[in-house]
Amino acid sequence: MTDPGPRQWGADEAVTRLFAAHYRSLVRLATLLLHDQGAAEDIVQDGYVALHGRWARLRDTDKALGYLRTSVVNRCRSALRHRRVVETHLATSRPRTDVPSAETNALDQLRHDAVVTALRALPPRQREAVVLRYYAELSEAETAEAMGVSRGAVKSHTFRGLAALKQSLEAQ
Amino acid sequence: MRHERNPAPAGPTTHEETLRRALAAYAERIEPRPDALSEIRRRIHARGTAAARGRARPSAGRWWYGWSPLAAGLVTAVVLAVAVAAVGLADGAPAPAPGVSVPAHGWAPPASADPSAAPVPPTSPAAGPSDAAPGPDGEGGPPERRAALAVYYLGGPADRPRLYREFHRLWLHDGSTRDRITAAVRNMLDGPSGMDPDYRSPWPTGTELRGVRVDRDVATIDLAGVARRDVTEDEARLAVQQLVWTVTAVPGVTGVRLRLAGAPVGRLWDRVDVSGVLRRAPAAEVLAPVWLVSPQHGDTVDGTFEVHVAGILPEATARLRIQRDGRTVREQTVTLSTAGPAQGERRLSVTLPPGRYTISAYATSPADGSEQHLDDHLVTVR
Repeated sequence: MTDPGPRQWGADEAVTRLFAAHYRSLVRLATLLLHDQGAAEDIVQDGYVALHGRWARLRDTDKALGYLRTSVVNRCRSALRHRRVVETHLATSRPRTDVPSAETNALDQLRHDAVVTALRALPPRQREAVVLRYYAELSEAETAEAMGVSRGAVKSHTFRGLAALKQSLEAQ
Repeated sequence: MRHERNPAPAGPTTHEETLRRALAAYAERIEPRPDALSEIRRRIHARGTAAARGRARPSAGRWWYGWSPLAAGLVTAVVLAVAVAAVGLADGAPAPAPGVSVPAHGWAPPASADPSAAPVPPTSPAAGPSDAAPGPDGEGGPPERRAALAVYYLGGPADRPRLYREFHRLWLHDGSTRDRITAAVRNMLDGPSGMDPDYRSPWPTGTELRGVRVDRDVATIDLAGVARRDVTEDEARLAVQQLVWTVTAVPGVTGVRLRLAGAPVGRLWDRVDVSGVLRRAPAAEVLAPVWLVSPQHGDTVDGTFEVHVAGILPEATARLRIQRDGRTVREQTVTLSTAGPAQGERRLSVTLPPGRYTISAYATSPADGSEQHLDDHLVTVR
């Protein structure tokens, strides 16, 4: 029995295979962007449902993954816009201040939580750029594709996002 | 690592490494629900079935298909939006675009129960706005795993805030009382504002829900990371009532015990007593005098839709105004079912051409006729 390549996969098979390969990491990505795992799972599932209808035109796992990522980033952005997480409010109410700066093992967890809290306070584009670059480990070009912006914009969002994170962590 | 190049002088590498490790550690704790693949297949199948039966059937379910990711915004927005008070499509109403089906079920506004909400005599807090999750999906799909849950926020003048309520469609696990409380409170703490940016939550960013325990009709809410806040007594009292009204919106729960980091607590922010079992304060004391219940801020509605106004007003008279591009297209008096101190309500059907509108409900001052207690929502009519 030979294993047919992606070009031979039907849409059902493509969804099954791409689910096995990427669902978990896409849910994690969406949760980092949205901070709501339930909504994140929904959004990723929406992406797979849309992919099913589109598979005939993609027939390529890399393209399909790119499509799923773009779909997730866009849907998260819309969800956030809808939720009106107004960043200025976040900026004015500082996260808890008991996070030590030392990075001993025992304190790593606190430090990590502080990073995630600070990440939530970033404007959506900066958060997307930072998460795609530093969590998903995407290149600038891949990040640009997922965000639907230019590479220059990715650079600037990443730069500003990192600067804001750093400032926010040092302020604690 | 696949970096072409480090993204620039945002700090020494240690920061980037910290960031990378923190994101990885956080992500590792996230485990998707086990049955996601079958859920995806069910949705794909539902779409296929709906397509076979004709396009754009309003009853096709809550999924929209054939959208590119770029167009997907609306989908998600609506999925999160909740409570589209769709009153069946009249013949003359604008038809939805192909592929944009308007679910007529599963999205029913939690209407039936909510307005009974506030006429609550303090002795029967159970009559409060229940979450009134939409009934089971009509088309025989598996039961909804999300429900529209009531989440309260502060709004109105900064020196005299009052509570407003939104229904948020939230993910459930087992649908138990505890599960619903967890979802609602977590959502309440999740951001500084509701879907309506005029609704705010005074709980500091970083406040997390540590745990929920339900003993009969009292829920114990354990919060962590509640930073000190310099707030007025009013604001602190309303913050506590925001939590209490949100928790007790879940049916069967009438009281709240507050714990901070696991320990009982006597006073919150040095301003307000939170010992013992906390109950809903009387509606007339804490709820805003006028609520535009639906459409909610950011909703997209059909050409003919229901406007639902509630209010605690001495003469049971509210005003409704609908504006487009700053021009008033409709303005009228709305007589509510009951006068204050109970919360009266009124639903009316409105038909509008497609576009973006600001719908405002307010009261007029008996003294000088000025507008008071205005609650406005930006709404898209498709």
